[in-house]
Amino acid sequence: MSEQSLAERLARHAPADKAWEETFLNQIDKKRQAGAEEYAEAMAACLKYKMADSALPGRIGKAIAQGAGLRTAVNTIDRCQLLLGLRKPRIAVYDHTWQFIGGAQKYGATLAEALQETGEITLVGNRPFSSEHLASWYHLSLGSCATRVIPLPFYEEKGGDYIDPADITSRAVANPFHAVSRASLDYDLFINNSMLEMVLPLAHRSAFITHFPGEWRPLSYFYVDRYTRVVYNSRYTADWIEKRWGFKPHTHIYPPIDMAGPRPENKEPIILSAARFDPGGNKQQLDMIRAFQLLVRCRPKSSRGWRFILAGGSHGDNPYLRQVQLYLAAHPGLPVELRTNITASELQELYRRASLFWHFCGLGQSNPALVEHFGMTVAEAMQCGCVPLVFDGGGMREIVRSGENGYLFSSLTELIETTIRLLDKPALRPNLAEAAWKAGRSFSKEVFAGRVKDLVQELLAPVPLTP
Amino acid sequence: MSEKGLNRTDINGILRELRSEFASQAERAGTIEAIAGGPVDRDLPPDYWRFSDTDLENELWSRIPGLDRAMLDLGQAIDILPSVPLPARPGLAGKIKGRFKNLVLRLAMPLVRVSLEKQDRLNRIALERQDRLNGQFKHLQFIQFLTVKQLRQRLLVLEIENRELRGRLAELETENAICGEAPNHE
Repeated sequence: MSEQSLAERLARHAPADKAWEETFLNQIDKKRQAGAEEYAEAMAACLKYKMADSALPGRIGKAIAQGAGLRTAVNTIDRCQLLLGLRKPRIAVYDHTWQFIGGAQKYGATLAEALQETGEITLVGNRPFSSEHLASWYHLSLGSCATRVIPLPFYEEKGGDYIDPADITSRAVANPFHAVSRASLDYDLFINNSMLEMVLPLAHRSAFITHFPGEWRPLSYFYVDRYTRVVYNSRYTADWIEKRWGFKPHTHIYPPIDMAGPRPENKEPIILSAARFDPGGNKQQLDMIRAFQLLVRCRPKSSRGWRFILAGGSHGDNPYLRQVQLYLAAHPGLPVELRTNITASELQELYRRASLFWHFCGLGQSNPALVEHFGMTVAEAMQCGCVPLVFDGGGMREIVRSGENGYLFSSLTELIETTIRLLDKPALRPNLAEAAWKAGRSFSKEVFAGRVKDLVQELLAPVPLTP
Repeated sequence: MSEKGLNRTDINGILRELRSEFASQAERAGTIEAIAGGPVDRDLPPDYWRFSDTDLENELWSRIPGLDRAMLDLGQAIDILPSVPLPARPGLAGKIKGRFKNLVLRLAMPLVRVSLEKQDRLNRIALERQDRLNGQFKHLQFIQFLTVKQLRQRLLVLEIENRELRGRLAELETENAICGEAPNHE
């Protein structure tokens, strides 16, 4: 129902004839949550045009609360305030893991940064965290973002840093995340960045950011289909959302990559790998070392002077990292270097110097969750002009065009053969590096921010957003 | 802003007061269902959920503005709003009609019971059989569930073993392909 038509109706019926009001109130219970937009428009029109009856919003509000529930009543009033331009939109970005460094958290924090001018942003979490830490970890400016911690008694009792949603296996256990759902009622737009399908959004508009649907649709609590928009980070993720959750997601937004370096020049004979040292070994660093060892052993002349550098973060006592260190200690002559927990600028310097970039994640895996869903480090490497040689699977197929700006491989033999070709023919590398550098720019933070703003504009329309 | 003197501050005040009233009611509400205005969980198996709530709502409510515009285009010849309020209770004629129907039904009830006695007996027997079959079916489902669970665990173990073997095979193949065919340059 457009505002204009409603206004015309009001002009025809109100204020002399109260029949329209009675009819409107009678219709409320039939329209459920979807009616909030219409109710808000009606309320705003009443206040803005003919009806200066100060008790009318109260009557409408109470009828909505009785007929369609408290949520719709609160949403209607919030929406009405926005339609009348009485305040800026309140936007929440929720993640239960803000306290950890990671790609998904970076996605959420960058999203919050992009929306700072659009509304009042609150970063919502369940364990203590600070926006200053997020800003310094991800090189962002989050000065106008407020933070809010919603403790979850179920997990407070369990203790520990990590909130594990897998603890809730059935509906026999009360949903501890309903506390977050209740809090979502305070916002005009609730963005769930934490992949927690157990959070029911109660805000008028909501978005669910899907990094990957790790599990089949659980039989405990599942509310992803209640979100206004489901966002996905790659087409690979979108396919699995459809397979595992049974619906098509709405909006595609690639993760933000902000490693853009200068045009590739003066590259050194370095093969680089940048990936977190996952305790389960999902990033397959050990396999990469073995592949490099094979390369050196079989083609000593071609690989002379080349080094393999493995950069990546590691948290606490990491059994996989220990395994890698032990392997390198057993092979002292191998030109392989480990760089753990280096800063972003050190990593950028490595990207700038490295000629080739290897990424194995997904090779030989049967579980789709263990294949790279997007491949942020691949895009980072490309932004700095490294030629990527990556596994042909997951989101990496969307980043690398094999033969144009890098190579995709599906077996170890293919990788080593391609690497040998690039080592033997150095003239091939500059063109590929230039193409990779150009392609990497399409994943920039600016492109990401633009898409996020478009999404929010669409969600909050027709409320105009501040530039 | 409005004709009778409500300004932005007044409007803001009214809305804020109303919101805080509802928000505090929501805070006091014991369950999430009480806030949402209805049940929030569903028990249907995933295969039946082809359309999400959002999809359905978008589909249904996106048609409203179109209808609205169409009505305005018709020169407001059609108006969905009634010109007078519709009565919620029946009038005198309706009440008399209703009471007469009730009386006829009561009088006819003994005849109905006798004529449907056979049918009632049959229904009871059918229900008992249905209950028995339901019990057997549940039992079968439970056995199936346990079997599937065991098979999944076995599959998981096999997948892990398969992965390890594949890794080893790939290594051997690579070693064979590169070291076996290419001459050593050293």
